[in-house]
Amino acid sequence: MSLATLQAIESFVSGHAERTAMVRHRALDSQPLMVCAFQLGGEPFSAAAIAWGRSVDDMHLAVAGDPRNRDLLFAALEPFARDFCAYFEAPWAHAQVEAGPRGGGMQLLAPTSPQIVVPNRQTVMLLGRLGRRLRFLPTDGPQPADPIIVRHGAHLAFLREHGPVAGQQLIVDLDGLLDEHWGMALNATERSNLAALDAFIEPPAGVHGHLAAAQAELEPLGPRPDAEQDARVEPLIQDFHRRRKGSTSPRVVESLLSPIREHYRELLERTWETSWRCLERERGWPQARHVPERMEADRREYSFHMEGVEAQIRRRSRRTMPQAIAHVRKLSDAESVVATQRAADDPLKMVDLIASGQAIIGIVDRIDLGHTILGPSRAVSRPLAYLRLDGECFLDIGEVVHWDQQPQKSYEVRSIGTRGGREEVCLMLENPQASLPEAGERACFFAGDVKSRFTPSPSRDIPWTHRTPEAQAETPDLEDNEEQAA
Amino acid sequence: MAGLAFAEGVDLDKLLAGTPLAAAFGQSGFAFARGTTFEARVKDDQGDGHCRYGPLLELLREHLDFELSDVRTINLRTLHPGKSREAMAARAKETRRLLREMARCKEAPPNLIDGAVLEETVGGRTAYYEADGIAFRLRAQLVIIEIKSFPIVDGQAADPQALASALDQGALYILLTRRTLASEGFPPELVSTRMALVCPQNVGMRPCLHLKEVERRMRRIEALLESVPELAAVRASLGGLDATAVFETVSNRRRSADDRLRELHGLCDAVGTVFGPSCDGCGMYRFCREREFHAGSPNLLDEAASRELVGIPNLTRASALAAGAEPTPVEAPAARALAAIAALRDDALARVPPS
Repeated sequence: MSLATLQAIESFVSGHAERTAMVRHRALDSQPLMVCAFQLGGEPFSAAAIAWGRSVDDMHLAVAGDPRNRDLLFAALEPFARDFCAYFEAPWAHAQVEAGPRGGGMQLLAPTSPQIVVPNRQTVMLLGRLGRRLRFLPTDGPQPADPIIVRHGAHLAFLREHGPVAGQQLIVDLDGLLDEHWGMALNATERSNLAALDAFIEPPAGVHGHLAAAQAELEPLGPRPDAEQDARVEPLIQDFHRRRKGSTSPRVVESLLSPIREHYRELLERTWETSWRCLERERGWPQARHVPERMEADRREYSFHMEGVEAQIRRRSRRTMPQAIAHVRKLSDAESVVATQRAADDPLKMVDLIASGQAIIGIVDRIDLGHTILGPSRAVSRPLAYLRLDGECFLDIGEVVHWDQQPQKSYEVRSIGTRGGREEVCLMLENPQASLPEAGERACFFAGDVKSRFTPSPSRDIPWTHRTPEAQAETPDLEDNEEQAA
Repeated sequence: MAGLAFAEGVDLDKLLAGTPLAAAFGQSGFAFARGTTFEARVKDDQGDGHCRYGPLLELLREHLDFELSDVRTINLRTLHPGKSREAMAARAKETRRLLREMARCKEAPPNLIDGAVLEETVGGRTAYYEADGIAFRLRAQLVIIEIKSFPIVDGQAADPQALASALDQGALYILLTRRTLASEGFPPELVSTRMALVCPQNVGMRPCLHLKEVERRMRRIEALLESVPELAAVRASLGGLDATAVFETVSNRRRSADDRLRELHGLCDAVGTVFGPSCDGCGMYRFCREREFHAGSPNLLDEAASRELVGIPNLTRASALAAGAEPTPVEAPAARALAAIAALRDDALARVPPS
């Protein structure tokens, strides 16, 4: 049984979502850049409309008219690209040389990192695809692209790649954020809809959250429109084409865009308001202890990316096999470290660890400060803590655990016995300089690491399990100049 | 319920149209247009349904060693236009004849069938499936072609879900083609288990072709087809209830929505429904979900969660058990786990998050 199941049951009975976290496990900037978007049908590499801004009253809107036309799309993207780059690149202007994380090599680092907020994961994917299209465009030749569009593309593609790293906060998808902190009687697919999550968390008075969510999910928040939304814009686009007579000049296009712009303004305003409301609600919760540490990791990733963009280093469009293997390892390592950090920071998140036997909780019975063991040359102090458990201990003798108040320090499970009808575990502190819990105090110890032990493999060879008959040829530039739709 | 509807040949996607619980999906006109445009381009459609197949043949030459000359195409769509059952049956008959010719390798059979129709008896009913193309070369296997408009970028499909359903579709067509040939006494191995997937490459509409092995999907689909109940058996199990009439009433848009939904509830009460997260995409999703909601069913949750609650009739009861109510023997295992997690939760809420 997991806490999520219990919270889902309770939410069904109470009629509103239940909190699955006591603190907020992501940093939320007070003035992030919110980006909401709508596609045209299933067009994968373009956006029909994009809204962006730094506060709820600051919504900028770019509408392409017909995003299938490259010239119209790029013209519409330009103001977005300018604002985006201005915000995203701002911290880099103040970059300074700092020492590496463990006193390692010197690195050029920005003092802070930017934060992009989007309504859902699908928007991250759409921006990523858009970035993939834009980042390799040639800035010279017959159809030169504006360099800012190319830089914008590089940033978007970077965010898409960085997005899956557990606990990162450079790009925050609100549906993922809410799902991490709230439990409700909806399945995973239903919980990927921000409007549904929002409705279950704060349903209208007298309406059960589940029914409110079922109602809210009917109108998509983007980026994929439904048939009805697109049916409304279709005649507007036809009319737009008829009247522009093949012209893509901004002067002609701008005057004809109003009806399409109004259509998307209406759609995006709902997305915009829902997104800011959800963001504000989450911002009200206190931040978890390990969040600054993950912000630091983001700052380094961001700086590394910016350094590459500035030096105009051309990234591969697809990872090589060793790169891909290292990337997957990095993701899974971050996943387990962040899961442990969350549990260590949040008694509610610890519940699943205790229930599955990976953590123990109880009252400290007594402390033996005088305990010593024989070190290499002399006896060294290794204090013991005796913990009387509430439940059972499923840890093994010799296993390393951490006290949630001081998760960097390690204890070793020395013995497991029973005293007065309850299980008693003897833990030995492995770092003598650390402080200990006091006798009579309630304490929780867990297995798992809050620090990454990941070091990228130096090997460049492809392991035999991953060898493919032929390597894929790269095609960085996606634009197919001969073939253009619309 | 789904089995019954399938056996009765009811289109669940349209059944509840016009009621408040109608499915909220439906393809955007633009998404549909994108698919049509791409298919027309691949087939070099002249606009009147007559196709020259230039780009497609070029891909087939490149990947399947088609000869430069000696291409004979046949378009069954123009031969028997429309989607009526009669047209489909005629196309299915024609497809069968052409497959026979191909298998015999006599004279000069066509080596590209556009719009082949395969028939299959599912649950006692004949169902028709329309394949985008079947390609054939002398002294080689038949290859099923599927044309899809999702792009391939850097050798990967931009939309993994769309890719999965395209491969499932191809696997079904291979399976059905093999069965058709087998029924004519030819070895099923004449049809390759690798399907040809034609998709746009990158941003534009330039097609590319990938050969994909789908044998494992074929086996899964075969098992799925076997599991569809026979209409006669389903009818017999209903004990006199006339499901056909009920479906007719429910799909009758002249009747009030309340009326139609009530009839459907009645039928569902009689035959039962199975609901879960995998129902997403079914036309009755919202209807069944509402039923489950009113029953407080654990099926509203993720599959893992509903598995944890085996033996517990509904969520309200689960909440009571978590709070310490006396469980019945069937409920006991799940109830113990629930009470334990509830105790841990209460304990956690009393603690202060470390800072």
